[in-house]
Amino acid sequence: MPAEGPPGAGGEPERFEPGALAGLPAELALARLPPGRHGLPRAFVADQQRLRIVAAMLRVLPEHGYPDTTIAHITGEAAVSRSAFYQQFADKEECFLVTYDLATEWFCERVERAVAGAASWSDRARAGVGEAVGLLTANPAVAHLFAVESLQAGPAARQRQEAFLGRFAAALRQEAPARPEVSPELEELLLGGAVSLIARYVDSGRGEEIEAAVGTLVESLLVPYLDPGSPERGNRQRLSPTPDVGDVGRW
Amino acid sequence: MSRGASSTQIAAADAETQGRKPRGARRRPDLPVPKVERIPPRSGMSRAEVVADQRRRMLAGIAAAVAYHGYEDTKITDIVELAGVSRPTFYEHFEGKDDCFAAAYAEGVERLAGAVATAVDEAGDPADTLDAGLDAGLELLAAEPALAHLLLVESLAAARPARIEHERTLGRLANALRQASRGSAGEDALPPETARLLAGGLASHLSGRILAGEAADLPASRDLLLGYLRAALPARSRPLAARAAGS
Repeated sequence: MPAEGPPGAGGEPERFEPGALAGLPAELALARLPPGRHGLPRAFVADQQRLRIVAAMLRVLPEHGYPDTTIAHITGEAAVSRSAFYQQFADKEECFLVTYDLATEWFCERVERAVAGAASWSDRARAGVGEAVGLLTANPAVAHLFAVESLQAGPAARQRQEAFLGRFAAALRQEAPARPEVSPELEELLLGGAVSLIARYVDSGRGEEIEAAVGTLVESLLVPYLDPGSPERGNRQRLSPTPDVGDVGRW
Repeated sequence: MSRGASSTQIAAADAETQGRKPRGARRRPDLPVPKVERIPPRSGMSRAEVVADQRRRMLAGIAAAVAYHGYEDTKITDIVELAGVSRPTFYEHFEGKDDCFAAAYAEGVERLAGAVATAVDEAGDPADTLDAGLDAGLELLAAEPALAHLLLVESLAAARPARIEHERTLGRLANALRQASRGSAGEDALPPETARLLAGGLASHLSGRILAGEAADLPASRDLLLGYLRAALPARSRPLAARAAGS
Protein backbone atom coordinates (compact mmCIF):
# COMPACT_ATOMS: atom_id res chain seq x y z
CA MET A 1 0.00 0.00 0.00
CA PRO A 2 1.18 3.49 -0.74
CA ALA A 3 3.13 5.71 1.57
CA GLU A 4 1.07 8.85 1.56
CA GLY A 5 0.92 12.11 3.37
CA PRO A 6 -0.67 12.60 6.77
CA PRO A 7 -4.34 11.68 7.10
CA GLY A 8 -6.69 14.45 6.18
CA ALA A 9 -7.58 15.26 9.77
CA GLY A 10 -10.11 18.04 9.60
CA GLY A 11 -9.59 18.36 5.86
CA GLU A 12 -11.61 17.09 2.95
CA PRO A 13 -12.42 13.38 3.06
CA GLU A 14 -10.14 11.50 0.75
CA ARG A 15 -11.14 10.23 -2.68
CA PHE A 16 -10.65 6.59 -3.59
CA GLU A 17 -8.53 6.51 -6.72
CA PRO A 18 -7.33 3.04 -7.62
CA GLY A 19 -4.47 4.52 -9.66
CA ALA A 20 -3.17 6.44 -6.66
CA LEU A 21 -3.24 3.26 -4.59
CA ALA A 22 -0.23 1.90 -6.40
CA GLY A 23 1.65 5.11 -5.85
CA LEU A 24 1.07 6.28 -9.39
CA PRO A 25 0.16 9.86 -10.14
CA ALA A 26 -3.62 9.75 -10.57
CA GLU A 27 -3.57 11.63 -13.87
CA LEU A 28 -1.16 9.09 -15.34
CA ALA A 29 -3.01 6.10 -13.96
CA LEU A 30 -6.29 7.11 -15.50
CA ALA A 31 -4.94 8.49 -18.74
CA ARG A 32 -4.80 6.44 -21.89
CA LEU A 33 -1.34 5.23 -22.79
CA PRO A 34 0.02 6.52 -26.07
CA PRO A 35 -0.22 3.85 -28.77
CA GLY A 36 2.89 2.16 -30.07
CA ARG A 37 6.29 2.06 -28.39
CA HIS A 38 6.36 4.27 -25.35
CA GLY A 39 9.43 2.91 -23.60
CA LEU A 40 7.58 2.24 -20.34
CA PRO A 41 8.55 -0.96 -18.51
CA ARG A 42 6.22 -3.87 -19.20
CA ALA A 43 5.36 -4.47 -15.51
CA PHE A 44 4.50 -0.81 -15.09
CA VAL A 45 2.16 -0.94 -18.05
CA ALA A 46 0.48 -4.10 -16.73
CA ASP A 47 -0.08 -2.58 -13.26
CA GLN A 48 -1.32 0.56 -14.79
CA GLN A 49 -3.80 -1.27 -17.00
CA ARG A 50 -4.99 -3.39 -14.09
CA LEU A 51 -5.75 -0.33 -12.02
CA ARG A 52 -7.37 1.44 -14.94
CA ILE A 53 -9.66 -1.55 -15.41
CA VAL A 54 -10.48 -1.51 -11.68
CA ALA A 55 -11.26 2.19 -11.79
CA ALA A 56 -13.50 1.56 -14.81
CA MET A 57 -15.28 -1.31 -13.03
CA LEU A 58 -16.01 1.03 -10.14
CA ARG A 59 -17.47 3.63 -12.51
CA VAL A 60 -19.67 1.33 -14.60
CA LEU A 61 -21.16 -0.67 -11.70
CA PRO A 62 -23.64 1.99 -10.50
CA GLU A 63 -24.95 2.38 -14.02
CA HIS A 64 -25.47 -1.27 -14.95
CA GLY A 65 -25.35 -3.26 -11.72
CA TYR A 66 -23.04 -6.25 -11.37
CA PRO A 67 -25.29 -8.86 -13.05
CA ASP A 68 -25.77 -6.74 -16.19
CA THR A 69 -22.25 -5.33 -16.38
CA THR A 70 -20.41 -6.84 -19.32
CA ILE A 71 -16.72 -7.09 -20.10
CA ALA A 72 -17.44 -4.70 -22.99
CA HIS A 73 -18.78 -2.07 -20.58
CA ILE A 74 -15.59 -2.32 -18.53
CA THR A 75 -13.10 -2.34 -21.38
CA GLY A 76 -14.96 0.51 -23.09
CA GLU A 77 -14.78 2.64 -19.97
CA ALA A 78 -11.14 1.72 -19.31
CA ALA A 79 -10.15 2.18 -22.97
CA VAL A 80 -8.30 -1.14 -23.00
CA SER A 81 -8.72 -4.08 -25.34
CA ARG A 82 -10.64 -7.20 -24.47
CA SER A 83 -7.45 -9.23 -24.55
CA ALA A 84 -5.79 -6.76 -22.18
CA PHE A 85 -8.68 -7.40 -19.80
CA TYR A 86 -8.21 -11.16 -19.97
CA GLN A 87 -4.48 -10.81 -19.43
CA GLN A 88 -5.28 -9.22 -16.09
CA PHE A 89 -8.40 -11.06 -14.95
CA ALA A 90 -9.90 -14.49 -15.55
CA ASP A 91 -13.43 -13.11 -15.68
CA LYS A 92 -15.81 -10.42 -14.49
CA GLU A 93 -16.03 -11.89 -11.01
CA GLU A 94 -12.27 -11.85 -10.48
CA CYS A 95 -12.13 -8.25 -11.63
CA PHE A 96 -14.94 -7.42 -9.23
CA LEU A 97 -13.22 -9.13 -6.31
CA VAL A 98 -9.97 -7.27 -6.95
CA THR A 99 -11.93 -4.01 -7.10
CA TYR A 100 -13.68 -4.87 -3.87
CA ASP A 101 -10.44 -5.84 -2.13
CA LEU A 102 -8.73 -2.59 -3.13
CA ALA A 103 -11.70 -0.53 -2.00
CA THR A 104 -12.06 -2.29 1.37
CA GLU A 105 -8.31 -2.14 1.99
CA TRP A 106 -8.37 1.59 1.28
CA PHE A 107 -11.46 2.08 3.46
CA CYS A 108 -10.16 0.02 6.41
CA GLU A 109 -6.78 1.76 6.36
CA ARG A 110 -8.36 5.20 6.45
CA VAL A 111 -10.77 4.28 9.23
CA GLU A 112 -8.02 2.63 11.29
CA ARG A 113 -5.84 5.69 10.83
CA ALA A 114 -8.65 7.99 11.99
CA VAL A 115 -9.20 5.81 15.02
CA ALA A 116 -5.54 5.67 16.03
CA GLY A 117 -5.40 9.23 17.33
CA ALA A 118 -8.32 8.97 19.77
CA ALA A 119 -7.71 8.37 23.47
CA SER A 120 -10.52 6.11 24.75
CA TRP A 121 -12.18 3.18 23.03
CA SER A 122 -15.47 5.02 22.85
CA ASP A 123 -13.78 8.02 21.22
CA ARG A 124 -12.15 5.61 18.78
CA ALA A 125 -15.56 4.21 17.88
CA ARG A 126 -16.86 7.75 17.35
CA ALA A 127 -13.87 8.65 15.19
CA GLY A 128 -14.28 5.44 13.19
CA VAL A 129 -17.97 5.94 12.43
CA GLY A 130 -17.40 9.60 11.61
CA GLU A 131 -14.58 8.73 9.23
CA ALA A 132 -16.64 5.96 7.60
CA VAL A 133 -19.51 8.35 6.96
CA GLY A 134 -17.13 11.00 5.58
CA LEU A 135 -15.33 8.57 3.27
CA LEU A 136 -18.48 7.04 1.87
CA THR A 137 -20.18 10.40 1.40
CA ALA A 138 -17.16 11.64 -0.55
CA ASN A 139 -17.00 8.41 -2.59
CA PRO A 140 -20.49 7.43 -3.72
CA ALA A 141 -19.11 4.74 -6.04
CA VAL A 142 -17.52 2.98 -3.06
CA ALA A 143 -20.75 3.36 -1.08
CA HIS A 144 -22.60 1.77 -3.99
CA LEU A 145 -20.07 -1.05 -4.05
CA PHE A 146 -20.60 -1.77 -0.34
CA ALA A 147 -24.35 -1.19 -0.28
CA VAL A 148 -25.44 -3.02 -3.39
CA GLU A 149 -22.88 -4.76 -5.56
CA SER A 150 -21.03 -6.70 -2.88
CA LEU A 151 -24.32 -8.40 -2.03
CA GLN A 152 -25.21 -9.42 -5.55
CA ALA A 153 -21.84 -10.45 -6.92
CA GLY A 154 -21.98 -14.00 -5.63
CA PRO A 155 -20.84 -16.04 -2.64
CA ALA A 156 -17.13 -15.12 -2.91
CA ALA A 157 -18.00 -11.43 -2.62
CA ARG A 158 -20.17 -12.14 0.40
CA GLN A 159 -17.32 -13.96 2.11
CA ARG A 160 -15.10 -10.96 1.44
CA GLN A 161 -17.68 -8.71 3.03
CA GLU A 162 -17.88 -10.89 6.13
CA ALA A 163 -14.10 -10.81 6.47
CA PHE A 164 -14.14 -7.04 6.06
CA LEU A 165 -16.69 -6.62 8.86
CA GLY A 166 -14.88 -9.19 11.00
CA ARG A 167 -11.80 -6.98 10.88
CA PHE A 168 -13.68 -4.08 12.48
CA ALA A 169 -15.45 -6.39 14.92
CA ALA A 170 -12.10 -7.76 16.09
CA ALA A 171 -10.79 -4.24 16.70
CA LEU A 172 -13.88 -3.32 18.67
CA ARG A 173 -13.70 -6.52 20.72
CA GLN A 174 -10.10 -5.93 21.73
CA GLU A 175 -10.84 -2.58 23.23
CA ALA A 176 -14.41 -2.50 24.44
CA PRO A 177 -15.29 -3.61 27.98
CA ALA A 178 -16.22 -7.29 28.03
CA ARG A 179 -19.95 -7.83 28.20
CA PRO A 180 -21.30 -11.36 28.26
CA GLU A 181 -24.40 -10.35 26.28
CA VAL A 182 -22.31 -9.09 23.37
CA SER A 183 -21.07 -12.04 21.34
CA PRO A 184 -18.64 -11.73 18.41
CA GLU A 185 -21.56 -12.52 16.11
CA LEU A 186 -23.55 -9.65 17.56
CA GLU A 187 -20.59 -7.32 17.03
CA GLU A 188 -20.47 -8.33 13.37
CA LEU A 189 -24.21 -7.87 13.08
CA LEU A 190 -23.98 -4.35 14.51
CA LEU A 191 -21.02 -3.31 12.39
CA GLY A 192 -22.55 -4.89 9.30
CA GLY A 193 -25.75 -3.04 10.02
CA ALA A 194 -23.89 0.24 10.48
CA VAL A 195 -21.76 -0.02 7.33
CA SER A 196 -24.69 -1.10 5.19
CA LEU A 197 -26.97 1.57 6.62
CA ILE A 198 -24.43 4.31 5.88
CA ALA A 199 -23.69 2.93 2.44
CA ARG A 200 -27.38 2.57 1.54
CA TYR A 201 -28.13 6.12 2.56
CA VAL A 202 -25.24 7.53 0.56
CA ASP A 203 -26.14 5.35 -2.40
CA SER A 204 -29.71 6.62 -2.41
CA GLY A 205 -28.56 10.25 -2.32
CA ARG A 206 -29.35 10.79 1.35
CA GLY A 207 -25.83 11.17 2.71
CA GLU A 208 -26.78 14.32 4.61
CA GLU A 209 -29.39 12.49 6.63
CA ILE A 210 -26.92 9.89 7.73
CA GLU A 211 -24.34 12.56 8.59
CA ALA A 212 -26.96 14.12 10.85
CA ALA A 213 -27.55 10.76 12.53
CA VAL A 214 -23.90 9.87 13.27
CA GLY A 215 -24.35 10.52 16.99
CA THR A 216 -27.21 8.06 17.27
CA LEU A 217 -25.40 5.48 15.16
CA VAL A 218 -22.36 5.68 17.42
CA GLU A 219 -24.54 5.35 20.45
CA SER A 220 -26.28 2.31 18.94
CA LEU A 221 -22.90 0.65 18.61
CA LEU A 222 -21.62 1.60 22.04
CA VAL A 223 -24.64 1.24 24.28
CA PRO A 224 -24.44 -2.53 24.78
CA TYR A 225 -20.95 -2.09 26.24
CA LEU A 226 -21.80 0.66 28.69
CA ASP A 227 -22.81 0.02 32.28
CA PRO A 228 -26.40 0.95 33.01
CA GLY A 229 -25.20 3.75 35.31
CA SER A 230 -22.63 5.12 32.86
CA PRO A 231 -22.98 8.84 32.15
CA GLU A 232 -22.35 8.13 28.45
CA ARG A 233 -25.73 6.43 28.33
CA GLY A 234 -27.29 9.82 28.83
CA ASN A 235 -26.03 11.01 25.46
CA ARG A 236 -29.23 10.04 23.75
CA GLN A 237 -31.26 12.61 25.60
CA ARG A 238 -28.80 15.36 24.77
CA LEU A 239 -28.66 14.64 21.05
CA SER A 240 -30.68 16.93 18.92
CA PRO A 241 -33.57 15.11 17.31
CA THR A 242 -32.52 13.32 14.15
CA PRO A 243 -34.72 12.79 11.13
CA ASP A 244 -36.64 9.55 11.31
CA VAL A 245 -34.54 7.44 8.99
CA GLY A 246 -37.20 4.75 9.14
CA ASP A 247 -38.83 6.41 6.15
CA VAL A 248 -37.82 4.30 3.20
CA GLY A 249 -40.31 5.52 0.63
CA ARG A 250 -37.82 7.48 -1.40
CA TRP A 251 -35.20 4.80 -1.85
CA MET B 1 -28.91 4.63 -12.81
CA SER B 2 -31.19 2.46 -14.83
CA ARG B 3 -31.15 -0.97 -13.29
CA GLY B 4 -34.58 -1.96 -14.48
CA ALA B 5 -33.02 -4.90 -16.34
CA SER B 6 -35.42 -5.50 -19.20
CA SER B 7 -35.69 -8.99 -20.57
CA THR B 8 -33.58 -8.02 -23.55
CA GLN B 9 -30.86 -6.75 -21.23
CA ILE B 10 -31.05 -10.00 -19.33
CA ALA B 11 -30.82 -11.93 -22.58
CA ALA B 12 -27.81 -9.87 -23.59
CA ALA B 13 -26.17 -10.45 -20.22
CA ASP B 14 -26.91 -14.16 -20.52
CA ALA B 15 -25.35 -14.28 -23.95
CA GLU B 16 -22.32 -12.44 -22.59
CA THR B 17 -21.75 -14.86 -19.74
CA GLN B 18 -22.96 -18.09 -21.29
CA GLY B 19 -19.70 -18.89 -22.97
CA ARG B 20 -17.73 -18.91 -19.73
CA LYS B 21 -20.19 -19.75 -17.01
CA PRO B 22 -21.42 -23.34 -16.95
CA ARG B 23 -25.20 -23.40 -17.18
CA GLY B 24 -26.80 -24.85 -14.11
CA ALA B 25 -23.95 -24.03 -11.76
CA ARG B 26 -25.52 -24.60 -8.38
CA ARG B 27 -25.41 -21.72 -6.01
CA ARG B 28 -26.64 -23.84 -3.12
CA PRO B 29 -25.19 -27.34 -3.18
CA ASP B 30 -26.86 -28.03 0.17
CA LEU B 31 -30.31 -27.79 -1.35
CA PRO B 32 -31.91 -30.79 -3.06
CA VAL B 33 -32.78 -30.62 -6.74
CA PRO B 34 -35.85 -28.42 -6.62
CA LYS B 35 -39.34 -29.63 -7.18
CA VAL B 36 -42.73 -28.08 -6.70
CA GLU B 37 -45.58 -30.02 -5.17
CA ARG B 38 -48.51 -30.40 -7.49
CA ILE B 39 -52.07 -30.95 -6.46
CA PRO B 40 -53.49 -33.60 -8.81
CA PRO B 41 -56.10 -31.96 -10.98
CA ARG B 42 -59.53 -33.10 -10.02
CA SER B 43 -62.81 -32.78 -11.78
CA GLY B 44 -64.97 -29.97 -10.54
CA MET B 45 -62.01 -27.59 -10.02
CA SER B 46 -63.26 -24.17 -11.02
CA ARG B 47 -61.31 -22.08 -13.51
CA ALA B 48 -60.38 -19.69 -10.68
CA GLU B 49 -59.02 -22.56 -8.57
CA VAL B 50 -56.93 -23.84 -11.46
CA VAL B 51 -55.51 -20.38 -12.10
CA ALA B 52 -54.77 -19.83 -8.41
CA ASP B 53 -52.97 -23.16 -8.18
CA GLN B 54 -50.94 -22.39 -11.31
CA ARG B 55 -49.89 -19.11 -9.77
CA ARG B 56 -48.94 -20.78 -6.49
CA ARG B 57 -46.82 -23.31 -8.38
CA MET B 58 -45.05 -20.63 -10.41
CA LEU B 59 -44.22 -18.63 -7.26
CA ALA B 60 -42.91 -21.78 -5.61
CA GLY B 61 -41.13 -22.58 -8.89
CA ILE B 62 -39.20 -19.33 -9.04
CA ALA B 63 -38.24 -19.64 -5.36
CA ALA B 64 -36.87 -23.14 -5.95
CA ALA B 65 -35.16 -22.09 -9.19
CA VAL B 66 -33.36 -19.00 -7.84
CA ALA B 67 -32.21 -20.88 -4.74
CA TYR B 68 -30.72 -23.53 -7.00
CA HIS B 69 -29.33 -21.50 -9.90
CA GLY B 70 -29.14 -17.97 -8.51
CA TYR B 71 -31.30 -15.14 -9.85
CA GLU B 72 -29.03 -14.22 -12.71
CA ASP B 73 -28.89 -17.73 -14.16
CA THR B 74 -32.56 -18.60 -13.67
CA LYS B 75 -34.47 -18.95 -16.94
CA ILE B 76 -38.21 -18.82 -17.57
CA THR B 77 -37.80 -22.43 -18.73
CA ASP B 78 -36.67 -23.42 -15.23
CA ILE B 79 -39.75 -21.82 -13.69
CA VAL B 80 -42.33 -23.26 -16.07
CA GLU B 81 -40.78 -26.74 -15.88
CA LEU B 82 -40.82 -26.72 -12.09
CA ALA B 83 -44.33 -25.35 -11.97
CA GLY B 84 -45.63 -27.70 -14.64
CA VAL B 85 -47.24 -24.92 -16.64
CA SER B 86 -46.81 -23.83 -20.22
CA ARG B 87 -44.79 -20.81 -21.24
CA PRO B 88 -47.91 -18.93 -22.47
CA THR B 89 -49.54 -19.56 -19.09
CA PHE B 90 -46.49 -18.02 -17.42
CA TYR B 91 -46.84 -14.89 -19.55
CA GLU B 92 -50.57 -14.69 -18.78
CA HIS B 93 -49.60 -14.17 -15.15
CA PHE B 94 -46.30 -12.31 -15.35
CA GLU B 95 -44.46 -9.96 -17.67
CA GLY B 96 -41.20 -11.80 -17.11
CA LYS B 97 -38.69 -13.03 -14.56
CA ASP B 98 -38.47 -9.71 -12.63
CA ASP B 99 -42.23 -9.50 -12.33
CA CYS B 100 -42.62 -13.11 -11.21
CA PHE B 101 -39.83 -12.62 -8.67
CA ALA B 102 -41.50 -9.48 -7.32
CA ALA B 103 -44.76 -11.39 -6.87
CA ALA B 104 -43.00 -14.26 -5.09
CA TYR B 105 -41.15 -11.80 -2.86
CA ALA B 106 -44.33 -9.91 -1.94
CA GLU B 107 -46.20 -13.12 -1.23
CA GLY B 108 -43.32 -14.42 0.92
CA VAL B 109 -43.07 -11.20 2.95
CA GLU B 110 -46.80 -11.23 3.60
CA ARG B 111 -46.64 -14.83 4.74
CA LEU B 112 -43.72 -14.00 7.04
CA ALA B 113 -45.46 -10.91 8.39
CA GLY B 114 -48.62 -12.95 8.93
CA ALA B 115 -46.78 -15.63 10.92
CA VAL B 116 -45.11 -12.95 13.07
CA ALA B 117 -48.38 -11.07 13.63
CA THR B 118 -50.20 -14.25 14.68
CA ALA B 119 -47.46 -15.12 17.17
CA VAL B 120 -47.43 -11.58 18.56
CA ASP B 121 -51.22 -11.62 19.01
CA GLU B 122 -51.07 -14.94 20.76
CA ALA B 123 -48.27 -13.81 23.07
CA GLY B 124 -50.58 -11.29 24.70
CA ASP B 125 -48.12 -9.88 27.27
CA PRO B 126 -46.20 -7.01 25.63
CA ALA B 127 -43.01 -8.23 27.28
CA ASP B 128 -43.25 -11.46 25.27
CA THR B 129 -44.01 -10.01 21.86
CA LEU B 130 -40.41 -9.60 20.76
CA ASP B 131 -39.34 -13.18 21.46
CA ALA B 132 -42.60 -14.57 20.10
CA GLY B 133 -42.38 -12.57 16.88
CA LEU B 134 -38.70 -13.33 16.31
CA ASP B 135 -39.24 -17.03 17.00
CA ALA B 136 -42.17 -17.29 14.62
CA GLY B 137 -40.36 -15.47 11.80
CA LEU B 138 -37.10 -17.38 12.16
CA GLU B 139 -38.89 -20.72 12.44
CA LEU B 140 -40.82 -20.09 9.22
CA LEU B 141 -37.56 -19.19 7.43
CA ALA B 142 -35.85 -22.31 8.77
CA ALA B 143 -38.76 -24.50 7.68
CA GLU B 144 -38.79 -23.08 4.15
CA PRO B 145 -35.18 -22.73 2.97
CA ALA B 146 -36.14 -21.74 -0.57
CA LEU B 147 -38.31 -18.91 0.75
CA ALA B 148 -35.54 -17.79 3.13
CA HIS B 149 -33.08 -17.78 0.25
CA LEU B 150 -35.44 -15.80 -1.99
CA LEU B 151 -36.22 -13.18 0.66
CA LEU B 152 -32.77 -12.70 2.13
CA VAL B 153 -30.25 -13.57 -0.59
CA GLU B 154 -31.74 -13.28 -4.06
CA SER B 155 -33.73 -10.13 -3.29
CA LEU B 156 -30.37 -8.36 -3.36
CA ALA B 157 -29.32 -9.91 -6.65
CA ALA B 158 -32.59 -9.19 -8.46
CA ALA B 159 -33.51 -6.06 -10.40
CA ARG B 160 -33.56 -2.66 -8.73
CA PRO B 161 -37.32 -2.62 -7.92
CA ALA B 162 -36.78 -5.80 -5.89
CA ARG B 163 -34.03 -4.10 -3.89
CA ILE B 164 -36.27 -1.12 -3.20
CA GLU B 165 -38.94 -3.52 -2.00
CA HIS B 166 -36.37 -5.24 0.20
CA GLU B 167 -35.43 -1.89 1.71
CA ARG B 168 -39.09 -1.32 2.49
CA THR B 169 -39.26 -4.71 4.20
CA LEU B 170 -36.26 -3.76 6.36
CA GLY B 171 -38.14 -0.57 7.30
CA ARG B 172 -41.12 -2.67 8.37
CA LEU B 173 -38.87 -4.93 10.41
CA ALA B 174 -37.26 -1.88 12.05
CA ASN B 175 -40.65 -0.47 12.99
CA ALA B 176 -41.69 -3.82 14.43
CA LEU B 177 -38.49 -3.97 16.49
CA ARG B 178 -39.11 -0.46 17.81
CA GLN B 179 -42.64 -1.28 18.81
CA ALA B 180 -41.66 -4.51 20.48
CA SER B 181 -38.82 -2.81 22.36
CA ARG B 182 -41.16 -0.18 23.75
CA GLY B 183 -42.23 -1.90 26.96
CA SER B 184 -45.75 -1.88 28.31
CA ALA B 185 -44.98 1.25 30.36
CA GLY B 186 -43.75 3.04 27.22
CA GLU B 187 -40.14 3.14 28.45
CA ASP B 188 -36.96 3.08 26.38
CA ALA B 189 -37.95 2.48 22.78
CA LEU B 190 -35.04 1.98 20.40
CA PRO B 191 -34.16 5.12 18.41
CA PRO B 192 -35.20 4.70 14.76
CA GLU B 193 -31.60 4.65 13.52
CA THR B 194 -30.75 1.88 15.97
CA ALA B 195 -33.76 -0.12 14.85
CA ARG B 196 -32.71 0.33 11.20
CA LEU B 197 -29.20 -0.75 12.04
CA LEU B 198 -30.46 -3.87 13.83
CA ALA B 199 -32.89 -4.73 11.03
CA GLY B 200 -30.22 -4.38 8.32
CA GLY B 201 -27.63 -6.16 10.43
CA LEU B 202 -30.02 -9.03 11.15
CA ALA B 203 -30.95 -9.44 7.48
CA SER B 204 -27.33 -9.48 6.44
CA HIS B 205 -26.38 -11.86 9.26
CA LEU B 206 -29.18 -14.25 8.24
CA SER B 207 -28.24 -14.17 4.58
CA GLY B 208 -24.65 -14.99 5.56
CA ARG B 209 -25.87 -18.02 7.53
CA ILE B 210 -28.07 -19.11 4.59
CA LEU B 211 -25.20 -18.88 2.12
CA ALA B 212 -23.05 -20.88 4.52
CA GLY B 213 -25.68 -23.66 4.32
CA GLU B 214 -26.90 -23.11 7.89
CA ALA B 215 -30.50 -22.22 7.08
CA ALA B 216 -31.80 -24.77 9.58
CA ASP B 217 -30.02 -22.96 12.43
CA LEU B 218 -31.64 -19.58 11.85
CA PRO B 219 -33.75 -19.73 15.05
CA ALA B 220 -30.50 -19.51 17.08
CA SER B 221 -29.98 -15.97 15.74
CA ARG B 222 -32.83 -14.76 17.92
CA ASP B 223 -30.49 -14.67 20.93
CA LEU B 224 -28.18 -12.23 19.14
CA LEU B 225 -30.84 -9.55 19.02
CA LEU B 226 -32.08 -10.34 22.50
CA GLY B 227 -28.48 -10.03 23.73
CA TYR B 228 -28.28 -6.55 22.26
CA LEU B 229 -31.56 -5.47 23.79
CA ARG B 230 -30.66 -6.92 27.17
CA ALA B 231 -27.48 -4.88 27.19
CA ALA B 232 -28.87 -1.77 25.53
CA LEU B 233 -32.23 -1.50 27.25
CA PRO B 234 -31.76 -3.03 30.69
CA ALA B 235 -34.97 -1.61 32.10
CA ARG B 236 -37.03 -3.01 29.25
CA SER B 237 -35.38 -6.36 28.95
CA ARG B 238 -35.11 -7.60 32.51
CA PRO B 239 -38.00 -10.01 31.96
CA LEU B 240 -36.22 -11.36 28.87
CA ALA B 241 -33.05 -11.96 30.85
CA ALA B 242 -35.04 -13.71 33.57
CA ARG B 243 -36.71 -15.94 31.01
CA ALA B 244 -33.48 -16.73 29.23
CA ALA B 245 -31.92 -17.73 32.56
CA GLY B 246 -34.92 -19.90 33.34
CA SER B 247 -35.09 -21.71 30.01
